[in-house]
Amino acid sequence: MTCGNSLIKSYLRRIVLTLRGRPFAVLRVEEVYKLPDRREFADAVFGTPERNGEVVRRGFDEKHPGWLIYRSLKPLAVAGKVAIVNPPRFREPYGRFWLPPAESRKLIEARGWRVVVAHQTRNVPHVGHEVFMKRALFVAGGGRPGDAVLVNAVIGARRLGDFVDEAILEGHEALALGGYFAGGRHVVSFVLWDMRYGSLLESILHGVIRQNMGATHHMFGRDHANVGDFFDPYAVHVLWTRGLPSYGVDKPPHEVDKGLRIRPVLLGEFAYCPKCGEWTYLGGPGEGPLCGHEVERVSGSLLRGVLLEGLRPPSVVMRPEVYDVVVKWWRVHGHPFVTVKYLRAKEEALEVL
Amino acid sequence: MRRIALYLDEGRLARLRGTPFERLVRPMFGGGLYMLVLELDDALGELVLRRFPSARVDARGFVEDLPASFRRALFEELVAGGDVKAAVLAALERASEEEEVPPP
Repeated sequence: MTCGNSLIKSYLRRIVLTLRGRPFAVLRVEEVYKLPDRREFADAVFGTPERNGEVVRRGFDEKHPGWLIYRSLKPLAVAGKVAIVNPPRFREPYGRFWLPPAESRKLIEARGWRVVVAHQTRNVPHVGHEVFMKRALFVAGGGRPGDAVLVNAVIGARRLGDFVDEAILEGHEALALGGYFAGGRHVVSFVLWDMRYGSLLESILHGVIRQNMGATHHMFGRDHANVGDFFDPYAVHVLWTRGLPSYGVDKPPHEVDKGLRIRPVLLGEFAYCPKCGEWTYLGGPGEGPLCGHEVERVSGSLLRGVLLEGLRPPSVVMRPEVYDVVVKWWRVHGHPFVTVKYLRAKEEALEVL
Repeated sequence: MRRIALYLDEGRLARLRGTPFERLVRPMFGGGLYMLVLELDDALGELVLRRFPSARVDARGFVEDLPASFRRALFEELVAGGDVKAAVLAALERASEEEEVPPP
């Protein structure tokens, strides 16, 4: 990758970025890069089993959406400071969840919160997610619950079969409205971003975004920003525990010089124990449930299967208020999950006015 | 080996009674729902994964995010009798990645 092509730079001083055909932001060009062969570039970014064997399980290919984005990039990349000239206005229900970084920090300061844990999501919450958030509050608070969970949903390119965006946002909101989090200590927001599913790499970006929003901690669980079986399910934990020299990060991102201030909360899975009648910590590889019974792992995919069978998930796995939100948006879109029809409608309407 | 789970309430469970698949049913969430677990050889599992763009293998190792039409056709094939492979192949024939599913 070459940087600083002065001829290109002299022509590209400012770039106007548009949204729905109207000026949205201005990029002041500070750096220009000519990208090498994009396949090599994508491998250099995401890694290879040979070079990054501690976390990369198999070679990346076109089935990985993020690798495909990098492989398909144009040959020129520019970088610089971005100034928003026309802040976006969002359609409902997005509008009430839009919390730009400065406003988020103002909210946190106004409420006097000292320990705020960010939760990244692309899912309608099941009770396992709720337990995860509550447990992370305790971990971040050092044995006493922290002040709040800042849910930050990623809204952007969607995969067929995902929950629709509106249900993700309102589903999380339903946890607070239903009283499962008290006193406004559960805030739902979103960020516009097309997931790269870069696992450990994307976790650094998530740390930056949520630190900018004022969060003090970030929870990372199994398969964070992960898809398929390219990365180890706990690659993010490796990065935030001891660093990954093979990616040029010798220490965890919050321990390197001028690194992030946000602290990680690294947790494994939670599972439902039918004998105990409650959720228990299952942990990660080599760990077992806290209780001595046979527990049931619950995945978002499992719940989507239950819903598609026309069945109502029991309240021990999905709060009834959350289920009602899913059905509400099911009626609107004719399907509870992302379909080609939904994608087409989103392309035409977008989230912004 | 790949696995597919069909989810059942009491009504659907009753329709499986007396079939060879009844013994494959296990309770979920303390008996709130039931799950019929089907084991597919690798080739059949890959066929299902390739057939539906939304299909994926979840953290438990199950093939999930399958269309409702496939799930329902598979259940009906199993109730009608026959083995798992034949039922899966027949359901693949009948199913499509639907744009609409009636809400409950």
